[in-house]
Amino acid sequence: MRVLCFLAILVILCSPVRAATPEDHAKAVARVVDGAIVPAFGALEAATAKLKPATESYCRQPDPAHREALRAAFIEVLKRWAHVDFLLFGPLAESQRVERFAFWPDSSGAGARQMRRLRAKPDPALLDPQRLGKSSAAIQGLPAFEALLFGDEAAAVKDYDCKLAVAIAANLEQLSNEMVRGWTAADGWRPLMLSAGPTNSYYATPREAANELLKAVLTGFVQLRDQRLLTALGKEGGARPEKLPYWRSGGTDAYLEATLAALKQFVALFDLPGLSDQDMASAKSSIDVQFKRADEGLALAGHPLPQTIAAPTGRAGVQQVLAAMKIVQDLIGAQLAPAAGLSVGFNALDGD
Amino acid sequence: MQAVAAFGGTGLVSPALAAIGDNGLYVSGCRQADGSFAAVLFDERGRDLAVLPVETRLHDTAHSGMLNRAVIFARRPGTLAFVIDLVSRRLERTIMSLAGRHFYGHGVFSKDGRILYATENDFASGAGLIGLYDSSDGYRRIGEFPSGGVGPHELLLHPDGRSLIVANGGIRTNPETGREKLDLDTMISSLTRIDLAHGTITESVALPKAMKLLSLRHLAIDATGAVWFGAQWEGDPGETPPIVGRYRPGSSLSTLMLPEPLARVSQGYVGSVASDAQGDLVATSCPKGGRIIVWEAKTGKIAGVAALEDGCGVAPAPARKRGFAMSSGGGLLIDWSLEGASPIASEGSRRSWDNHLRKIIS
Repeated sequence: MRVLCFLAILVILCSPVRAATPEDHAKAVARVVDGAIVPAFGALEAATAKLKPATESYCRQPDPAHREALRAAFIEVLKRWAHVDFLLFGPLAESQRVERFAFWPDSSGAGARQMRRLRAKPDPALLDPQRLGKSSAAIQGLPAFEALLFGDEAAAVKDYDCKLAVAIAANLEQLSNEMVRGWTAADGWRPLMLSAGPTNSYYATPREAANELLKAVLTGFVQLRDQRLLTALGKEGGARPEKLPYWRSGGTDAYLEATLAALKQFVALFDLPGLSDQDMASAKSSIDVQFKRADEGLALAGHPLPQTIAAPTGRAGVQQVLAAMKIVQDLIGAQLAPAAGLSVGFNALDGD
Repeated sequence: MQAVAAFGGTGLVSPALAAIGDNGLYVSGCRQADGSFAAVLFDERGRDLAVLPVETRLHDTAHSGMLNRAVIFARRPGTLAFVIDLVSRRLERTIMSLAGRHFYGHGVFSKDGRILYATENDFASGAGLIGLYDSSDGYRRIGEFPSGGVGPHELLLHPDGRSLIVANGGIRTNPETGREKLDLDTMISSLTRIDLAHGTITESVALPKAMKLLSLRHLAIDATGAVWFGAQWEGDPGETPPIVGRYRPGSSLSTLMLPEPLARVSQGYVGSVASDAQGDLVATSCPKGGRIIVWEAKTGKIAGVAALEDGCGVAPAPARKRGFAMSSGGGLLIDWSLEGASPIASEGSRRSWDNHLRKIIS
């Protein structure tokens, strides 16, 4: 009898963990969509709704107190934006919303060029948010707002600059509004992702919907590393702080911290180790450790990052963030995703 | 008639190669299970004949039966191309792009094998070029032609042997990365025909204005002489414009609509185009949608659809059957015909096959 019991336990212990089922994938998708994505767009909408009144107050009374209040409202939008700006599918990808919300990085300097031209020769038509929304992406989003009110010429904020900033704030609120509806409407992206199956015109299986989320989170790591940190870090002795996002407003640190928090939350809700067909406890704990290392890296670099990145400790801190996030990115891409039965595709990601 | 002749027999294949078997030799780039990259030669049953490790991700292959050589290009913005000796099955030489230039991943040999033509980008100006390399002189770069547009991608030797057809994608990319797109507002994609004797552009056809955000990238010629193109949509992902079309040299472009839900599922993206052994079927792969669409060349109607996740590589089927060999980023190789599909046994199922599959011998 004891032998039988022992055998039974042995069988249970040794039997392979089962592979993820369509139900498992569907649950993971629901966790991320309802736990992270939909609330994040809601929070973005709430933050953008406060930007326009803060801009109007500052423009009426441009004193240091109102300027700080405006800065706080702007940075709140940046933080909320960091929670969605890697979800490059569905409502954010449609109607060029991602570029219109934040034309960044702007490597050819299109935004600065157009803004200079516009300030030299103000166009009153663009003060209408609807018209602004149909104009160049480079002058209707976060970087344009920042350049107008926190840029080099911020000391001389003119009447037109203020009015244009108000129009941009209204446009950002409008875009957020559209994205919230794009996700939550009856024919929106949330019901689409949660009803994956043979009758769904877009996601034929829950696995395809889960692959979409996998692609998004990996995009988040790539954007953080390649666009936001590596370009600014440059070669030894060649840091380019002006390549960091949102340094004009002093929002860089908050935006990067929020990016780390967003990726951490997304990865935790997705719970790839839980979908795995093998024991992934060590990968799970490694992810926790690496996110902690990344947070510590930002702290080590010192604040504000645009001023510290060229110094040795600033550089070391950023390198720590980069190394930690690379480990998580590779763990997910090479180990956890295949074990969870997911794949981003080799050619499907491609623009060739 | 000339076009039909392009689908002729194996007269140019040497006895040494023919000994491999009558059913075909395939070449494709891949990422191996350990993350490294290689060019792989395999036979019609998916058996490896050679695995040639290289330092970069690969894209497409040019082949010369006269030389018994294949040249596999690095993926854009690559600076390397690798010459494979098909008899010894070894890497023979590495071709490097000029300083300030990069390859787009595609090339083609002249009929006699003497000249290799490669699509290239001049980083600084963004001008599209066709580089000329002399195979009889160590692949020395002996000249260049303008491609007639920005971002030339795939190119074909016209069956007349005297002209090239080039797909100019129209997208200027960031010189720092070579991949990030610039200036979509000004993009103009076109197909051009270049006279080889003089390097002059004899035809250039662009898309109608409403489709100016369509980037023409991949090409194949069918038995009727029509050039098929596969495109990618750079506009709003919520829209579903046509991404496949035909061009008959001397006339204008025409596009083919995809029915729903295929149009939406394809996500505005074609990764590869090929015609089959007889040239009466054309395959266009849509890896983002996990579908490969097969068209009847004569009518422009859809003959069949293969569901293959991350499926991108398409080439004529083994033997001289109607249909296609298809490869996927998930490591699958499929033998597809109108009657059905069967897996081709592969030693490398943990491989990720790259965008393009080439059949060297038919």
